[in-house]
Amino acid sequence: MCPSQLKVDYLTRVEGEGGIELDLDEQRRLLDARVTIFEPPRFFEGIVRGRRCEEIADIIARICGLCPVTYQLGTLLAIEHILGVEVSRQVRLLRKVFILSQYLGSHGIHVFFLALPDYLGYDNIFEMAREHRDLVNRGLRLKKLGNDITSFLGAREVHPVTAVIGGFTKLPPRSMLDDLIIQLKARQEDAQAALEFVARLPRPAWVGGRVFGALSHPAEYGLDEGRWCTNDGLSLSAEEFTGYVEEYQVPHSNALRCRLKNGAHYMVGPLARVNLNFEQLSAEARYAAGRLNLCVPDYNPFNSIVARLLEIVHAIETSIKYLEEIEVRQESLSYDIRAGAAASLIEAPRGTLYHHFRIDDRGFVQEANIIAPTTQNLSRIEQDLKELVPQIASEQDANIARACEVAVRNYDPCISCATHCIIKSRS
Amino acid sequence: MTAQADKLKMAVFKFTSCSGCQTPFLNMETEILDLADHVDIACFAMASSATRPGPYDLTFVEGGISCEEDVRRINMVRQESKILVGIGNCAVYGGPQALRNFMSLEDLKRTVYPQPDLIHCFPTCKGIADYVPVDGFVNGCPVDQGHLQDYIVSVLLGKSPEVSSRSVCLECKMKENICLIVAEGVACMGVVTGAGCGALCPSFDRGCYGCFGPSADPNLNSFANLCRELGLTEDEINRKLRCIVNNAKAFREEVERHVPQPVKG
Repeated sequence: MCPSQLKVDYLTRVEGEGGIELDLDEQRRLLDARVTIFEPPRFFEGIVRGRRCEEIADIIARICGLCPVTYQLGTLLAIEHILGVEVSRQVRLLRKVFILSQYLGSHGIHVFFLALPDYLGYDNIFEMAREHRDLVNRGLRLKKLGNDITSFLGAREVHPVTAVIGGFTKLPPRSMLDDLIIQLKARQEDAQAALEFVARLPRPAWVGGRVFGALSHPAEYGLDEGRWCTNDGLSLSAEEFTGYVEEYQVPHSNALRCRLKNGAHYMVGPLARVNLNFEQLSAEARYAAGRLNLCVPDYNPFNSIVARLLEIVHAIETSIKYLEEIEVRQESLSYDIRAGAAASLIEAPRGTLYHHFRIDDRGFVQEANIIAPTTQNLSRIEQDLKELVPQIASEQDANIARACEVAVRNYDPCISCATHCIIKSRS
Repeated sequence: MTAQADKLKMAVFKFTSCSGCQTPFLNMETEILDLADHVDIACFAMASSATRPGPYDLTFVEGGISCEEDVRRINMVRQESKILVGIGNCAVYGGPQALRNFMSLEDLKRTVYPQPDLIHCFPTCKGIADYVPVDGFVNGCPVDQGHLQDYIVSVLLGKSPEVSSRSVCLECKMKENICLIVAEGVACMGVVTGAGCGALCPSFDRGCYGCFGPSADPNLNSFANLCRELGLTEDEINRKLRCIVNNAKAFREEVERHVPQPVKG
């Protein structure tokens, strides 16, 4: 056999434009595996320079149409650190519900539209719906719940408009929070049933990366507070993050990636969070995990789909808890502009999202840096391919390509997010 | 269920964008399965691994054109599509990333990338109509899911899709909102922004920021004067018109009128 290159030209059922290239030698040994990204760059860190700090959350939200809330809130958190704005407890809780709504919406899309067709043998959700209509309807209802909460708090599902420095332009009336609680409770059974079904599906037994990173907080499942921890002992504040995580460029792909400065590739996202923060999951999620014999730490990236469903169960229970606590008192937002620099970390559906800004004494942005979850996962994804392909190298090309696509989808890569700052020329 | 061959053959393609305008197709929840009964979703990479070649009866394009590869693909897509519809700010105007059209690409590359020489793209991001003939547009940043549904239904029924020439301001009046300009002195862009969102921002106590682009025949000069009366500086007015939707002709020309700036081609 000749040396060959096996290619997936255009990854499907992922967000954005990317592909896979595998180089194989005469004996079909894998020489290299690359995730190619040909999504054009959009220069967000550059185009927000010179703009007022109040304006940039709306612009930065446009990095991602699937998880805009975490971009908005991550931006606002960093700006609030600079300005010394303390938000009220009700705003903090509403923001957590806002973030969790993105987990429902974004995980809902990933589990049911993007990933599950792989495990049931279909090309898409439409075919899958013909034979699994009940399951698909459960998924659509869960996703709709997330979208409804996002729009309820943010006025619309994609690029919501209400989150501003200090809180929300308008707080919802208490009665509407009660309606939301009713809707959330009505979906608990869907979440449990979907988790149960998916957890029992056969998935490849596989050991992937052993280093995970996520925000951790003793009192809650890390979302927007706490320290960024890894299972090999790091515990970092947002300000310390880039002191231990480095972006680097790889010669074969011109793409910025991330690794820990000790050289380790690491994983962020639902499986990382479940592994690091299992004790802070809601009681229902932990109980379900126990019943289904799910153990942590779990090193199998193919179990990410189960981690997403555990987070869906958790998101529903936790949103109910937070919403019950909020009294809704109208508050006025005021702050003074001052110069400074600060960072923030937030757990987006796909993993840790880092923002850093420097503003001058008139509130104009002088510097911006954003590190997306997919940027951090890319090198780990390639590593998974390098470890997976040799095990299946004797199979037909189409099967190898398909297996690689499934392995990439474990990470739910969001290539638009990643290419606000990375580029691989297609030529 | 309609037989596959009689269905409307539909495709969705993404260019330089955030995927926020193809996501509404997935957010159609229950409708999307009904839609699949009438529409053959032949190519939609984000939703399906089964992609079939054109020609397509109806193609939706998300995203702007910002590099050689985009140009090659949009020409290919145009050739394969009977009806080609641009959806969202990026496909219509170039999107938020078109802010770079008014900046130096070299500076931006140096700001964002350690090795700027490796970056190959145009100095501009523009709407698809700058490159190929387009049959229709759906505005918004993001587009409204109802508008996409209406567009598909219109094509299925063989009628022209409804395009509103109204402004956000009128939608706001119809919702009986208290006017933010009059009551609070907010420089709300609803007076010059195309309808379609249902006056979302003013309904949530903030001024419209123009994400549906200019309304039909907007009076930008009058809006700029209104901003001045409300105490905005020229720089503040420019940043308002040069924000999420920045490369729309009406907004662009108004900025150029009071602060002439070199626009790179």
